Amino acid sequence: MSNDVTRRDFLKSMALSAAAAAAATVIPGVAFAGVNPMKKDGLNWHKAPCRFCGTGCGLLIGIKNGRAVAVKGDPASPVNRGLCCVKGYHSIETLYAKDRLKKAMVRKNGKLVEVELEEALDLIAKRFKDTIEKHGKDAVAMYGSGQWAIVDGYAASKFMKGGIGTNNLEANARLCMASAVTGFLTGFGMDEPMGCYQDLDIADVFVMWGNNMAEMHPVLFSRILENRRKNPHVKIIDLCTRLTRTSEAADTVMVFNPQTDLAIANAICHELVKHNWLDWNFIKKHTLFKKGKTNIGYGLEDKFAFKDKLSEMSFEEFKKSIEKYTPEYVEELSGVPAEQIRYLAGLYGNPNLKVMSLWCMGMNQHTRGTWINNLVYNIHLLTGKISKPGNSPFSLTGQPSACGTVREVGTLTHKLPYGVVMSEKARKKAAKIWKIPVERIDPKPSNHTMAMFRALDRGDIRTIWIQCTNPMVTLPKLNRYRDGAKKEDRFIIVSDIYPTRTTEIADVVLPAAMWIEREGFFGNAERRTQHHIKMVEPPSRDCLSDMEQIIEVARRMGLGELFDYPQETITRDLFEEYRQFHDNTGHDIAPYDELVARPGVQWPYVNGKEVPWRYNEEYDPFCKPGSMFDFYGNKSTHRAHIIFRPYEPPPEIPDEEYPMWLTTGRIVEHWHTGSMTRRVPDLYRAAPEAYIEIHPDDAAEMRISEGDLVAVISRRGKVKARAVINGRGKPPRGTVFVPFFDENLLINEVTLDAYCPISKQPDYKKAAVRIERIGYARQAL
Amino acid sequence: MAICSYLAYAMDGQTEQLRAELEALEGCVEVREAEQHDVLIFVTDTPSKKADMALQEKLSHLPSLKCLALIFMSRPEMLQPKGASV
Ligand code: SF4
Repeated sequence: MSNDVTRRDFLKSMALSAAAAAAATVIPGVAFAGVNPMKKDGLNWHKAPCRFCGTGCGLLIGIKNGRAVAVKGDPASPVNRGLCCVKGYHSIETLYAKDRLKKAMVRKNGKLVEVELEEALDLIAKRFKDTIEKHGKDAVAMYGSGQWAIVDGYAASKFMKGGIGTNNLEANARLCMASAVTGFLTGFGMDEPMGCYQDLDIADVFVMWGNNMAEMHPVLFSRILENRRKNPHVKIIDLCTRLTRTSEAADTVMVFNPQTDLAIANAICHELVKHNWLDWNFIKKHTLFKKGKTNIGYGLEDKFAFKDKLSEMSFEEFKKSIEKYTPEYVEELSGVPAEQIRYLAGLYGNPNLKVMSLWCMGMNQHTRGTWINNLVYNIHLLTGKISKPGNSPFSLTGQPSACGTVREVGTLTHKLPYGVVMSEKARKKAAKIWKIPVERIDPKPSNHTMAMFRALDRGDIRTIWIQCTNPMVTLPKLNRYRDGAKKEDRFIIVSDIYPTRTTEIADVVLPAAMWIEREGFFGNAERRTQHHIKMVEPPSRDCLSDMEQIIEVARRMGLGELFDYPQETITRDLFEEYRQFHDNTGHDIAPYDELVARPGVQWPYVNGKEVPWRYNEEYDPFCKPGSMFDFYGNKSTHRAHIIFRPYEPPPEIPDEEYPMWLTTGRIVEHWHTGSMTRRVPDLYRAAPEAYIEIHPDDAAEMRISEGDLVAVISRRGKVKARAVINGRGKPPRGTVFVPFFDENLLINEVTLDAYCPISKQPDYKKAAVRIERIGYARQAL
Repeated sequence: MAICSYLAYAMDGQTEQLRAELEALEGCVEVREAEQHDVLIFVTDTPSKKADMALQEKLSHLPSLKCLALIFMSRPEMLQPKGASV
């Protein structure tokens, strides 16, 4: 902050909010006189969804003299009811770090130099046009983000697919949510969860499938803890590959060998079938048994192609397929004792218990990510524990609008705002709304994220525009993709708010307006769309929103008619245009005015009513009358799919040369690559650098002590990190963990770029590495 | 030196007295009372370590205070944002 008084004021306001939030966790419903945002504190308070994770907490931002000076949880938000995590409380500080990008930059004679915004925008438009002319429309690409506001993603889709006519549009949500999407689509024909956060207050059993919710989704986890405090029979089961803060809070912890969650899920199904803990009524009326292809590969080769095909199977065939997954067999594979597997199956199988399964990156960043999503749905479908209050398989999300922007707008190569590019009906609908000739929309998907950066390396893509994300930290096997991006005749445009490892390699850098510096919308993990107004000015006139940057370039390319709305209302107009895609589809989104007035509205939103539980006739007006449950996403059958998927090993497992598993992830203080949270003093101080967690026995064997400098070496690269033994996370023997928030410790130089062949989402949780001590604790890194 | 917030629980029926005692302390910025509960939010801002210690000492002797939980502490002077090295 620019002056100490403002900063102290901010801290005091934060101290007050934090205490109010803490009180609410121990005394439900407690309210404090005067901690009412609308009261006389001299601030103007406005609502906004949090800038960070996919929980989508509602915040109230206090504005004074044109600056955001205070933040507190919005008590009116049904998501967080006034609570926030440490990132939310510090969110407004991410606006004001001193190295905020304020001027456009263009690389000249090898160096990035500041230029007028007009020059940079002209250059981008020229480079796009030249590349298309010389190499074709598929030589340009755009790579965005689940942090894009909904209108940014929509503008990108219209520009790339409806304007240029290329499907080279992807977003970083491919790296975090794609397996959840394909899990939903293969099982239910429609994306996104059937349940909602209310399930957290209702369920009796919570099963965390490889998910450190205490750190990654702390506000939602606090709802589970509160449920357990009030209802002592409530159980939390932590299925994990390393002990975390979630394990500390869990009633039962089951540590499994990486990848064997596939086998565990099948073993649970095996037990359910063996003991007939099945809801036959539900199975017969609402499900179909299916199987897909097996031995499907790992996507390691360039131009890898795979298409799954589901075929029917009978219940008897399904039973035969899971026969070998006895608890004893799976104990051998997974390391989880057979008794624990039986116990878990018993919880799912008990008709008197409501069970919620929760997952995030552990299941999604998986070379069989789609499969493990399918398998967890199988458990819920076999027991009929789905689409009912408290019975809910629930995929959590990592980014504030991975759902709202990437999944719902469809900023992925195969998608349109409604439907897929391969569908003539979807293309016609898009062409009509966009007022373009239908032929302009390419019916063939081009490059998913990994293929896109491989194409950039090979030279099939020459110009790429990266907005609101930091792939030069997040891509697996990073050395290849960084070297590829730096090759001769590659042109990299980066829009961001701070210098990052990605702006380092850029030819043009555009400074962006972020979050409450412009009007926007996010969509969270429970299908809730949230709006915020522009509350403060960006740090310079050159900082445009991502949407405005796209429109400016489109105009320069002669595609201005795509965005022919008045400047003052364009956000509203584009949003209302986008809403047309979802009218009467089961994905009906609340109108702009409704979103402005309320702290978020869930879709489908029909006749003024939200749908908390989809596919359940009691709550969902899209269900056929009398059906009770109707999985209408599978249009021809209206049934959900129970899909048999086997256990298959990962592509790389520890061996003599690389004897340990490496798993990567996040910590509560930092958000993704840390480009924002590492600039917040309190958060930086709380976790200044990344580290490597090692089991004490492994450390002793390798003579590694706390704080020693170690090298983490894989077939792809080598990084250095300080050893942490018995830290907040405790990996089992043979496994190490490194968080990825630190741009000075690029752990993705070590990870493997294998991906799920169905979702194309890479696996950041399993690579084989060797650890070597290279320095003692006292030596500098 | 530090900006802190606490949850302060009052002895039975002594919320008003606790409020008055907290407000009288040097370093007190704000006291907010819960509606229908014997708990208060207490925000402090002390200029030095000495003032901080004096405040802690006084807090430990307040007759109407049943229990005090530190929720938030920040030392603005000590915070050095480093950000990225690029
Ligand atoms: S839990 Fe997520 S959405 Fe909520 S305050 Fe924290 S980072 Fe923001």
